[in-house]
Amino acid sequence: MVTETISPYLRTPISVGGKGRTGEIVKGPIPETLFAYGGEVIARPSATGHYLVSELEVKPDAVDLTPSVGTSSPRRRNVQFEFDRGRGELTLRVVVPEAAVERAILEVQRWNRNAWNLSEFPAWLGAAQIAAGRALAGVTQITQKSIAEAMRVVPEAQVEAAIEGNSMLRIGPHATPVRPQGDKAALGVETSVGDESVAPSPRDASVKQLTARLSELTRLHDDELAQLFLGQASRERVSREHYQRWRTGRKENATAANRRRMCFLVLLFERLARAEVGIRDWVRNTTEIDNLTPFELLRLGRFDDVDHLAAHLMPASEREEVISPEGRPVLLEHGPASFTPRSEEPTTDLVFEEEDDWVENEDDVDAETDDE
Amino acid sequence: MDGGEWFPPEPYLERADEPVARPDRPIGMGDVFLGHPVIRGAREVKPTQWRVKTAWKPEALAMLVAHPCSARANETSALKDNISLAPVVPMPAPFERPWSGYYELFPLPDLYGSNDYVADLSRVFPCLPEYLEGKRIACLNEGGLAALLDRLARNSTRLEPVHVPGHFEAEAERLRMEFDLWEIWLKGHGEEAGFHEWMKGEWLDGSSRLQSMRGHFEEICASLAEEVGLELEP
Repeated sequence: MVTETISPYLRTPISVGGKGRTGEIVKGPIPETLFAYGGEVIARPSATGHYLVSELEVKPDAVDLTPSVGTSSPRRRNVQFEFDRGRGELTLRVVVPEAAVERAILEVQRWNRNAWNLSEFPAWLGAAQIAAGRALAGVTQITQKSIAEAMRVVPEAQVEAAIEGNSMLRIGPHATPVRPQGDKAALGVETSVGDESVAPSPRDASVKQLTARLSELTRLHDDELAQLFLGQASRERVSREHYQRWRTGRKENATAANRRRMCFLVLLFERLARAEVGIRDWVRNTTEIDNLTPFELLRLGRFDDVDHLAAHLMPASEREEVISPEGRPVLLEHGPASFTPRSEEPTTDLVFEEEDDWVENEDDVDAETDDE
Repeated sequence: MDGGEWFPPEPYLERADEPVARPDRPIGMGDVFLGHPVIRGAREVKPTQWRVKTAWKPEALAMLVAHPCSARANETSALKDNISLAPVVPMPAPFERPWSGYYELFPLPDLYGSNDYVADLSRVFPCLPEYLEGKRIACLNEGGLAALLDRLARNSTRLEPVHVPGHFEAEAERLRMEFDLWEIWLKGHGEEAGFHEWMKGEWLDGSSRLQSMRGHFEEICASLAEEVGLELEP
């Protein structure tokens, strides 16, 4: 676990301009601009994508939160956010994976650049994310060389693209980046500021975390997502209200089968999100498989079919050098891992023609015991 | 995949020192059998006459390495004649965790009589399935199956499995689910036949049980158990 905080590397502590004041709980529209002392703009609700912070971390009961990343004119939202009296701390969400932040910090330390400027932070994050992004795809071995290379050569445009990711991090005097652990960072769910944040993997995440992540990734409505889960009575769907109770944490229990489905779906959609697939549209478009949409296939439990479609959707263009378990450098292609669908298995057996010119030597077979 | 992580801490679904392990489970990939001869290459004893040498002992061990799609007939799902077994021999001394290299060897730690063994994938030989009945002493679990698929791919093609993260796990899950269901079927019906027709039957809105198996496995299990009058273990 990395214990360094981000604040020491920022020129000034993050605080808030606009309507918020330290120690005050503010309810109301987002201020026009949030900025750090020193005048650096860190968030602007009207054009969030080009600033360090493009989402505010909101309380779970904040009303009508709509992700605004990538939209040109996000609507005003009523949110609640809290400032810690005395510490000038604001909880913020940053649109980069935690792993990338961690690597950025480590790189800064390595290069002894403690006085870096806030405005540089996105560039560091972007470069680190490109280097570390594959860690989020389940590849845990990243060479120091590849990180350094990415840091040096990453063009500004790529940096900007990189910070359009979808994980989050809280920034504050006591924020703690989390070392990626398999898919944990990819899930992008966290606990609280000041604590040792733990981002659970789909395998050890709570029902609330899994369903919230599903909603975030797919942007499907609760009544749609509810259709992907079966109730206690065989083949009946859970209700919208039931799913909503999962998502909001009011109901913590789910059957083992539904938990398994949640894990599968989160892993599937995380994979698609990393490949920059427009999930909300993709799941609604008709496919060649029985003319059904991925959503309909998932609804029918046809995970194999959706796995197959997803694998063929993603290009195999990205390559990265990693070290194999035997210590050899290998070029890893981040392409589809597909399989031959069972539906392509023939239903009949081939009949081989008997050839009659064989000489049978059956009588000559010796059988002997052998103490191997 | 460092340090032997390709191999699970516990690869077995069940093990027994005497046959039969998991008596109601259909014979499948990764099963280990006791007392089947090992068949070696033919040699020419005189022009046009060949002999095949077989070696046998009561403790002879062999593992079924063929995927069910190739070991079983498409039409009947019955085991084909001449399915592929790999001899299982004591683990050579220098070969130890994490079992790097020697891709032709699939480790079977603590398999039989508290000893470690390996399946030698380079010496696969054919066998008639009727001689396997009642001789199974071990079945692999899902993790063990994923490891076997990994090893077979490495051995046959030198594929670096890091290229296909998650693939073998998904295929192993599919195999495990299908054989779990088939086992319930066999317990209820007393025979293997009929299971795949049942799997091709409609489950939901035009989708077959086979198509929906991975998404609705638990519900299909429960419905089969109810159909054959079995109570599933929680």
